[in-house]
Amino acid sequence: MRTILAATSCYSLQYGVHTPREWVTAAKAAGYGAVGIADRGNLYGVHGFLSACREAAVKPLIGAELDGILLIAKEMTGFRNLSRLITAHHLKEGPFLSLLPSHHEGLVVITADPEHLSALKGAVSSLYRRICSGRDIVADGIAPVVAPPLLCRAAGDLPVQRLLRTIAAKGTVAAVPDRPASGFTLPEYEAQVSRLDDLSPEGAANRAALVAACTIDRIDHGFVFPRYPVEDPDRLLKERAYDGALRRYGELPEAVVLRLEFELDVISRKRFTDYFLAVADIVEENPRICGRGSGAASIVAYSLGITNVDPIRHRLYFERFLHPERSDPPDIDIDFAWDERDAAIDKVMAHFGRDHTAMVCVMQHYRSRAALRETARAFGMPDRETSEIERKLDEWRMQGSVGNRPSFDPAWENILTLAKRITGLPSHIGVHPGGIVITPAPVRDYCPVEMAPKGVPILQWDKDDTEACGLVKIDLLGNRSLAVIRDALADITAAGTLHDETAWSPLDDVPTQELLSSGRTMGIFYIESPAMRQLQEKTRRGDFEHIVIHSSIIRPAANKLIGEYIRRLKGKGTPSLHPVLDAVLGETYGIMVYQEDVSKCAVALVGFSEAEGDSLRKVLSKKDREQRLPDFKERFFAGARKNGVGDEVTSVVWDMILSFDGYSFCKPHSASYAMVSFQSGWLKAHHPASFIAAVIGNGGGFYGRQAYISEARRMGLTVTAPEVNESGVGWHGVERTVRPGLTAIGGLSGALPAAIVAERERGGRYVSLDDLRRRVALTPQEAELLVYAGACDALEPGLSRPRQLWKLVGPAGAAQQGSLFGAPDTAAPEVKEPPKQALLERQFQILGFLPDRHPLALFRKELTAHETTPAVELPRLIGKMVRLAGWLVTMKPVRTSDGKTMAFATFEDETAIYETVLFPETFAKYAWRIRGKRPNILFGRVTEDEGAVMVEANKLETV
Amino acid sequence: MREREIVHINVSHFMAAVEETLEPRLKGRPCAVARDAERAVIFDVSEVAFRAGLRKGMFLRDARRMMRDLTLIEPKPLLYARAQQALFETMTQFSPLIEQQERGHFFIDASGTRRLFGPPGDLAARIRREVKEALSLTPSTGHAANKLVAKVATRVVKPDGFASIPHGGEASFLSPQEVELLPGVGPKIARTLTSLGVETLGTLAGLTEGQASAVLGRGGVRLRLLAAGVDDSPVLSGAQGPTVRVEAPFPEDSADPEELSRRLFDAVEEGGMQVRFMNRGVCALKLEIWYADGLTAAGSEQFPAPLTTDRSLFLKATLLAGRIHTRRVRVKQVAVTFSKLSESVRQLDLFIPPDLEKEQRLQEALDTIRRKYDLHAVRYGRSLG
Repeated sequence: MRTILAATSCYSLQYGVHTPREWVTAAKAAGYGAVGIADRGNLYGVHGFLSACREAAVKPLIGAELDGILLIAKEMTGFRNLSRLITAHHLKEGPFLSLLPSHHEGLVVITADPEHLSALKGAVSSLYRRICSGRDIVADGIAPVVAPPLLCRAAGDLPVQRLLRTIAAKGTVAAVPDRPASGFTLPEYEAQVSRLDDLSPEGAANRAALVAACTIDRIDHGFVFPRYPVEDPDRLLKERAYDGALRRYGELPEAVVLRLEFELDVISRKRFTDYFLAVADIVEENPRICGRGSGAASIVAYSLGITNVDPIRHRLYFERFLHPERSDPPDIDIDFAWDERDAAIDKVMAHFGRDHTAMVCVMQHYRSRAALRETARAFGMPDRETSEIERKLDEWRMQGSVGNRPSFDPAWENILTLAKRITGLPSHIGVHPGGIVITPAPVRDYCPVEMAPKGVPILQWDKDDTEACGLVKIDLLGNRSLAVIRDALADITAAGTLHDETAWSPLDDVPTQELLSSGRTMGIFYIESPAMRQLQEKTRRGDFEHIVIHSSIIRPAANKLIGEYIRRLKGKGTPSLHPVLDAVLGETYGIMVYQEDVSKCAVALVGFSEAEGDSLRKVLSKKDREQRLPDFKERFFAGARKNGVGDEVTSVVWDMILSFDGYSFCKPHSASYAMVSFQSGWLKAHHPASFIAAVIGNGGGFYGRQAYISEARRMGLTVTAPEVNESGVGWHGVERTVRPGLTAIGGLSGALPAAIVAERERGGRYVSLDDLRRRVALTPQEAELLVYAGACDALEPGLSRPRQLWKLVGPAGAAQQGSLFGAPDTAAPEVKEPPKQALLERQFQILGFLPDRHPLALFRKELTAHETTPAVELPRLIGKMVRLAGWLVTMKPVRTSDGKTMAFATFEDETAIYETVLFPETFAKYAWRIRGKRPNILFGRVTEDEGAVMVEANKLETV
Repeated sequence: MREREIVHINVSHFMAAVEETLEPRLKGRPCAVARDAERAVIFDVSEVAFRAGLRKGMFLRDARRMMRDLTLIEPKPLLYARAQQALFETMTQFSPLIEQQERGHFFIDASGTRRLFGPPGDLAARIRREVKEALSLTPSTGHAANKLVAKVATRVVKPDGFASIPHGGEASFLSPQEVELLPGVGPKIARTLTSLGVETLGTLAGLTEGQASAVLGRGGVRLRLLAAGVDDSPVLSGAQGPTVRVEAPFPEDSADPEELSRRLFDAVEEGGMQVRFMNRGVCALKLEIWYADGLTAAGSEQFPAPLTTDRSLFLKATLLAGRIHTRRVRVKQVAVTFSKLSESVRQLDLFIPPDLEKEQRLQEALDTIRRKYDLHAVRYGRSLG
């Protein structure tokens, strides 16, 4: 069999050019029956490689290169040893050569290095001398194998390879050799092998024998999760579930008991008991969490405190989570406050042991932007110039990529061509935000582990590969809103309001429901986006059940459905499609809202089995849906016909199914999120200043900080400047005042805000600028920032900022002396007070916002000429053309069905926030002109739909 | 201290100005001196172009986007070198104390020339006139009691005005000027001063020493004095410690180490010859690198014994470049400054190594040819690339 023993793939990062799949295809086309991939120190690409080999019916050889030694796994023992060696190499656990003799079982060891050979001779069983050039054929008792290194397919790939090496070296292309020290193109390799095979028939024969000895074609470890360390885990889970249920429900109604028993039975039979107990332990110590995913349908999870939504009250069905007939692993995601997440992960690692836990990796790939940037840098182009090129390309794309791409000078054209070649190649390996794997034996027995720069062990495989080989992943993720809730509650408790969280039931709170139904939901978890606020405004529903629906129906591909949903909700929709659907989709007005509605309808309407329905649901979110959907569609329509459903009805249903393209939620997940929405909504309704402060203090949510400051002002709250006597380190709300923290002053040294607050708490309020100067060490730059942020205005009212600064940085001691001698101002010369406008601009520069006014005020002079209408008047101007000043809040481009781009953009002026739509023509013409942090002037018609006002923009100008 | 009379002459946009003298139709037009190439970098711009925001060091195509009717002038390095020399010679008739800064910038110490040339203010005007007559260049000209005030004066009357600041009138001249005009006040210091409400040189000069040093550090005391017009730095003429500075712009920016090496050699070769013509050797070398994105890198080195041959200078410059050129960005210009030029050149040392001996003889032969024809009559292969 013709064999490639070891090709380099793109998973030799910044070195290899081709994906393993490309190698398999190329090798197959060139008549090879077996292909090996050996990347440098990793098995990143092994799963993709194996599946490509299965599809092409090519024999795979799993290998890796470590310190110039080629290792190939013969069978699973060899694979485990390979994984252990790679891990030991990454964790720097000792000289590799000394580890090899204890890990050589099942491995083929091949090297050309004479020193390595003599060190390993006799110590490892399958040792070979690598023959690459012909000069290396030596008769010394070590078996030769002809295996020259294979770098890329053709000579045309070499410039790409050179570029990758340049990127790795952070150098410039002209300064990097055009070829690496070794490595052949495929034609060169073929010539070399045939020459060497003639020179060393033994080396050729050994290659063939070696290939025959390799047998791995799939890696599947089975269900991998550690046993919970008690004698009878099932019994323990039952006890803990019942205890928890008693805490949640008080007495246990029959429905609860029945459900518990049913779930416990399924969990036990599916051998997930250990998993549930482990997850329960993880959340036990930190109850401010949001358990979500389909697992939120489980009453066992609810009882164990893993989730917070009562599945009985809110009709969440366990079968969506663990169906007795299906075999997929359980899926529970747990959100922690974003700043507590790392600690939660550390705890899990400490508990199970660092050898037995690892984070899943995320393979990062060069996206077109990064590819262009890196390539440009390799050619010495300044970043600014690259941005300019990007801007031109973006503009062209925004206008629908009509006509030819803008052309550039030859140097740039070459860069663009090469950048395209590296786009999509893996660039580096990162840590998954929350996926953690726990294993009974050390993790490295299943998959190589390396150390992420931030010091956590990570698997060399991403979540799909990890799960595909049987490892169970638990997702521990970060959620900003949980921190917002925590901080806002702490704020109001600090102000003396008692808050009992165990008795807190925001779901039934009327002011909260009213707030949600009004659409004034900025800052509230998950329902604050413009689309969501509009949906709230149009439906005017703020009860839990509707919020659950709304959190799920707003998804990328469901735009059309939403209009129909609103009409049906208001009783004006089209009549029922089919009685079966009415029954299945009753609570969502006959509209498919949740992921599981897909399989439910497939089962009820067209007679799919549970499993079939479920795989249809899953296909919709997979990368290869384009290939696999037609088959489902055919079966769907055929099944419908068999059940006597007409094709028109079936097409409508099928279209609804397609609306789950991209991401979508199941109901339990939405319900878990809605619970967090209600908690944050309650805080906004009852403690708005603390709430907004907590939102901003946690880095904002969907919007940037300015948007929340404007929202606070619209809510009638006062926003102050940060002040040395009033502000804390972070943001706080006091009654109806939002106080920025001293950290809002950009450019202060990290420790200064805390030092100012600590000294104030120790020695009392600062009574003057001299007092501040005496008690806190300020550099001149820091003093300048404090003064021009307005943080010292209240210390000596009336004193101009330049004179404040003189007091803080002028000659030391002079002020105090001066006052003694009756000449208080000798420390500061006569200086002019800067104009108000300059002061505001400076303050805006330092803080990024203005405390007492909207930043549009900075442009008042320019704006007055435009005679704009205040946005607050829009509801009275339906149907009219208006001219508005607009500060961009957010913009969302959308693809129309005919491939054009349009956008929904949210703007605000000094009076109100408002929504606009830019239809494709307007978008193409003006979108690139819209500027953030600058005023825009919009012309357009005011429209109204179901109670929500929107401006259809048709012209834009920048000021 | 004796009363001093300093004249500062500044031909703004030197290359463009020289070109305009040859091609009068260019006058009043936006022009850029640059190669006609895809990624050409502008060597210099005319006054009109400057006022429209064009700057030297910009990419030609960016400049063309800003000004569609920009006239392109092919750079003529020899011409500018000759013009600079002619300018210098025009001035030598008035004083032996002339400090050359960049091209087109001169300080002339005219102290004690009253008997010969009349009142110094008139002399300054005369120099300006003579430059105009001899070379058709109109420099902005400042006259004052010291270099600092003379320089601020030319900045105020830029691009082609004339100002003579009478003795004792320094403070009242400087007082209303913005702090940014003062040499030594960069954007950072200017910003600090604005924050403190100090916007004019008068306010700056009015600070007490304590105030100035408290807010600006040690340099503050000096700035305050400068703002008051106090400056006693001497005019450094050739004999007292001149420097030779050569800028070598790249026709197009480049990330190729070979191109950098070629341009570096150009600069060393041109500067080296100037130094040898003065019969001197180089004891200090400064190297500047301009990157395509506008940032610069600089470094310098001193030598215990003077270097004279292009080879030895180039070797040192290359090593220095290796140390300071750490960025991946394309380079668009290098500049070499030779200073600490020592008197003794030819070492008549018996023990001089034969290689060095050979090298020096070669250098002399080259220089002889160049003196006879011009700088580019004989070249090393490496600078042709």
